Amino acid sequence: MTAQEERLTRMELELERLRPSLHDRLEKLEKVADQPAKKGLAGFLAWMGPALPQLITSLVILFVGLKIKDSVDLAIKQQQLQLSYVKEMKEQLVAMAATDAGLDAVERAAVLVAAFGQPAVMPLMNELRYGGNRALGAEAGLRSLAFMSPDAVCQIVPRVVASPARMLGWEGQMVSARVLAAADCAKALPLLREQERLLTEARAGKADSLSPIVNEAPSVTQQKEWLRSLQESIAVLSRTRAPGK
Amino acid sequence: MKLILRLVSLAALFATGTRSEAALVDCRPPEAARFVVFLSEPEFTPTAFSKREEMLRFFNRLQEYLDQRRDSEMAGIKAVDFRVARCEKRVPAIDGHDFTNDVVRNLYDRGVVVEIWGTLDAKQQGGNRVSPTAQINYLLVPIKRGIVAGSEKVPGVHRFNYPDAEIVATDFVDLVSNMDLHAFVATAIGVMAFDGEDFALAHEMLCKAGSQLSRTEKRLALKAETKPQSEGIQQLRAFLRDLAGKAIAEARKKPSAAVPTFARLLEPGNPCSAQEAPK
Repeated sequence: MTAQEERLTRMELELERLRPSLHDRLEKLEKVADQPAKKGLAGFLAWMGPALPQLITSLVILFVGLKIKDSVDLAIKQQQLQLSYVKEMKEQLVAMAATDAGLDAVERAAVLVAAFGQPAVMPLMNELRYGGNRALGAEAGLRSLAFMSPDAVCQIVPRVVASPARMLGWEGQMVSARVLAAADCAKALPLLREQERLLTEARAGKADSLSPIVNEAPSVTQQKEWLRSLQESIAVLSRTRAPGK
Repeated sequence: MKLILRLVSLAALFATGTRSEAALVDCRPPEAARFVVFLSEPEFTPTAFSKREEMLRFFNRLQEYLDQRRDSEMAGIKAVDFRVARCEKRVPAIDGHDFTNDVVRNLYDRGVVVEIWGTLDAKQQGGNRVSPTAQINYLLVPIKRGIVAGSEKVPGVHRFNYPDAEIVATDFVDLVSNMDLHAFVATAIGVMAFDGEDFALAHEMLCKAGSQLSRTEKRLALKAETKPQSEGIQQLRAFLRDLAGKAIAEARKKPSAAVPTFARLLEPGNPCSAQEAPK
């Protein structure tokens, strides 16, 4: 046998050795190809293959974008609502401040302001600073709010009362105590008790004890009026002890 | 019968043209003062004043007269820090129903001692106004407030018709600025000063008022129709006398060196001594 024949024979043997293996592999591949495609998520994931991470990223961006848009829309809508409240309330607040307005008209306007709920608390508290009919009207409005939106009253009024900015005079502080009682703000009890303590000190002759609460010290008669309202409010709240307020 | 007469007089008043609409408009004194008297705009008939402007001229004159205390009887309270506020457009309801507890408390908190309101009328004779008449209402704020012990049992609103047996005038200013007004101002200042623990001023005013009111009481007792009013004044005087006694007792509670002279010299049982009118 020549050298060429020998090489040929070796190659044929080699091919013979590979043949069944190659054949098996091809058969397996064909079987897989013949199987029906997977269904559901697995099928989808299999179908997406390497594009899946890109898809997930896009979806996250879309979701976050929509969320941001919703909150921006909400904020804009809230702003628009606030603006419309201001416009609507302005008319009534102007009516309250009119120099020739009778008490009936002032009280009516204040109760209409109160109908706006929480946004009405601050404008009405502000009216307390002016005394006279405006303070009387504001108290009527705040009393209405105490029945309609006690949570709003219990949330905002104590903050104004305790503010170191001393926004209210003694009369405003006194009215606030009555309003807190009307709204059953049991959480305001410690605040009112602290005011009672300071007033009692002032009555006993400690001249500057009220300076953390009011700019101008009230007269003896006014201190007694304020103390009376405070004690009545404390008594009401101690009786009711509304839970969760 | 009384009610019918009242309705008829009210109807007549409206028929002849009352010029002001009842409304409790806010009012401020010309300057801050410890005590304030609210002088509200009166209602009036066309025979009293043909135009509102004319009434306002009278109103200004009256306010100035009272605020500057030109009156000799008003001069008795000259040393007291009080002002008369001109309350234009403030027209309380003639029966005083505007003065709810909240309104009275608000007035009290602002140092308002008395509010005056009412109706003015007159006759015309040859184009001139003659025989002026007035129905004046007095709200004694510290009495109506009812926080000084005993005040809740005493009438806090008084309504008088002028002229009467003693108060006669040809001019509205003299008719309104009368001794009843001065006595009521002294009364209300006295009660408010007592609540404010200024016992010296309280005692002085309460005794002064008690003395002045004894004249009013006697005058009103003369006529059968004003007898109930006289009894109201009598109740008020008894209350004032009692309060003057309490003022002495309270003033004596101070350390002995700080006890004022009046509290040393007078007794709570006989608190006004020389000023006291015979019973």
